[in-house]
Amino acid sequence: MITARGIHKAFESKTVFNGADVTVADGSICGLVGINGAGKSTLLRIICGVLRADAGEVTIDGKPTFDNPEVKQDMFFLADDPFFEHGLTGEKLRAFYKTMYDFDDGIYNSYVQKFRLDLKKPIRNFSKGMKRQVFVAAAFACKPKYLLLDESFDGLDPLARLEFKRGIIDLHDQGSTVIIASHSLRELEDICDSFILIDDSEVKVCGKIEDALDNIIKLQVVFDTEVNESDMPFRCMRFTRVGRVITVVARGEKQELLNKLNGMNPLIIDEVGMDFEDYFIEEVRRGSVL
Amino acid sequence: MSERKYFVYELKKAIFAICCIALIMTAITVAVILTYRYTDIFGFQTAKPESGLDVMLFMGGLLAAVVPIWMLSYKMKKRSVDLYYALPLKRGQILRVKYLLGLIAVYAPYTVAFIFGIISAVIKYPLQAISESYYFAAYFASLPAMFCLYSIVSFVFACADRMLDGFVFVIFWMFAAFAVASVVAVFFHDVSPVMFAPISPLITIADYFSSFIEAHTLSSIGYGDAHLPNMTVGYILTGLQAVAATVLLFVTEPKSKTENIGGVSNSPFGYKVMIPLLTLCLFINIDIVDSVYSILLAVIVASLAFMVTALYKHTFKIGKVQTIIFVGSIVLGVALSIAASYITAAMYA
Repeated sequence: MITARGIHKAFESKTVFNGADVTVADGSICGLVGINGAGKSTLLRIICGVLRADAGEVTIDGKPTFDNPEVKQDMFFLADDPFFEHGLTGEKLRAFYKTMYDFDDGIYNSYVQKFRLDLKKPIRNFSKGMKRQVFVAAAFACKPKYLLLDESFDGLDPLARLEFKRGIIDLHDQGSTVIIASHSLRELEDICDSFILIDDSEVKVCGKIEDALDNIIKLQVVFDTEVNESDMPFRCMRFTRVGRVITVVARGEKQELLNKLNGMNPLIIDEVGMDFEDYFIEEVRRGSVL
Repeated sequence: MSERKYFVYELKKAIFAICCIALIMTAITVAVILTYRYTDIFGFQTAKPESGLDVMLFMGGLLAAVVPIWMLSYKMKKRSVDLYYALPLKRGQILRVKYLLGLIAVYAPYTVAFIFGIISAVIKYPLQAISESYYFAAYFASLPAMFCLYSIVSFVFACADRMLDGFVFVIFWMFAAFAVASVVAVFFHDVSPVMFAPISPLITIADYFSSFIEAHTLSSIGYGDAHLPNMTVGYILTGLQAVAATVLLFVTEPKSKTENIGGVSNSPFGYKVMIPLLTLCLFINIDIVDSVYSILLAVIVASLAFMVTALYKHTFKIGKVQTIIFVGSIVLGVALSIAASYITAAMYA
């Protein structure tokens, strides 16, 4: 289990984290979401030991991760813009990671074939997506118990994304824990079972995606007269009105909200599907959790 | 286990570059030695050969100063740090591997070039003209001197947060102790500033052993003895700096703030202290009351100091504090320069 307690991190005058607490259960696929500059990449870098927290500590099963090869042996961090030296080829990348991890040639070769990569070509000559693919292949071949991915869907074509998601699920099935920082919320919703939402220097929400979506409702309601937000029998996360038609997003138990709304004698109540992206937008738009 | 495997991997990766460096260094050393002319003394082409030690040691010194930049450049890029510091290795282990590999990249090409340098000298000069056994003594004396230079440059370069700043820090440190000693020399004329520079052991080794190698044909026996005290002092001073640099390099590594990479290099071993220190020392050394050229020189030094400050802060708007430091070091330097002129004049009066 990855546990971060009381993480403080500041870059000069900018505070990125002010006492953040994070827990990621073993065997989960966790989406790390937040607006640009929220601190997603910073949190991943603190977890994998690239950055050191100013205060607080990240542990895996009680062992600190920072500068701890024993723990990092089970961890692979794939940065948003992976580094490669000038003449590095796919073959040389394999040789490099073989010195560090229990590298599985079979897995590497299979992904290289799926992505149709030429291992003899310098990586610098690859397109953005191909660069990502070769590192994704290396990440899976290292069979990490903890895989940390930063914006790893970026630049991948739809087929490669599909293979990538399959790979993550395969790794998860073998008991690995995956944390993915991404803005591709629909991709995250497909594969993640939990999420961490970072906003305003702290972890705002942390939990199961399913629970979060169950706990929030989006309704389109038609009344016979115009209704204002102040007339609503519950607190709305979002309230928009076009004539006598209103759209409300609210947090709470679904049936209870519907009962309250029925008390206003609406003409029509229509439940609109909420996805993770809607949820994220609503959470961040409000600036704080209601 | 991983560290050893990683070392072997890095060594394999670097072996081609090391061979190329060895080849280039050997070619230059051999070419220079073979094209040396006999020394012209008092209008006569005497039989005094040139040992070629100066070119061999220059090459060694150059390697010791450049290889750390090659080895430690991974610490200056955010992307490479993302890769290296996420690996299952301690930061200190990565540094140790790079540091040891750097030593190999310094010593291996240097040794090859040195051996071919000796062969070239032996081929060029009659055997009785040179004492080739002193080459070996010079070689073994130069190894610790190069280690010292390598360690100092490694630490100083690693203090920077950008490649460019690292280069500047290295240049600063080549002259820092020399500059301070030259200020002392302004007041106490019996101090030799050159022996405070990190390259002083290499310079004195070249002078000292050359005098023995070339001693057969010229009355320079005993000339080498004059260099021995300087070499000893230079060795001790540089050795102390090197020990401190090596310890600090490895002690500070786990605490290095990777988030600063690419930002302003605020290390006390860099711009922060070096700009005012060197500005001050240079101004004291300029005899401001001497001539109009001194004023021109002072303007050039002040301009350079400002440019380096702008480089430090990544902007020409250097801020209030830095302006005070900049102006303060110039004013203090001018004041001390004037004081030194009067003191010197009084001493000779």
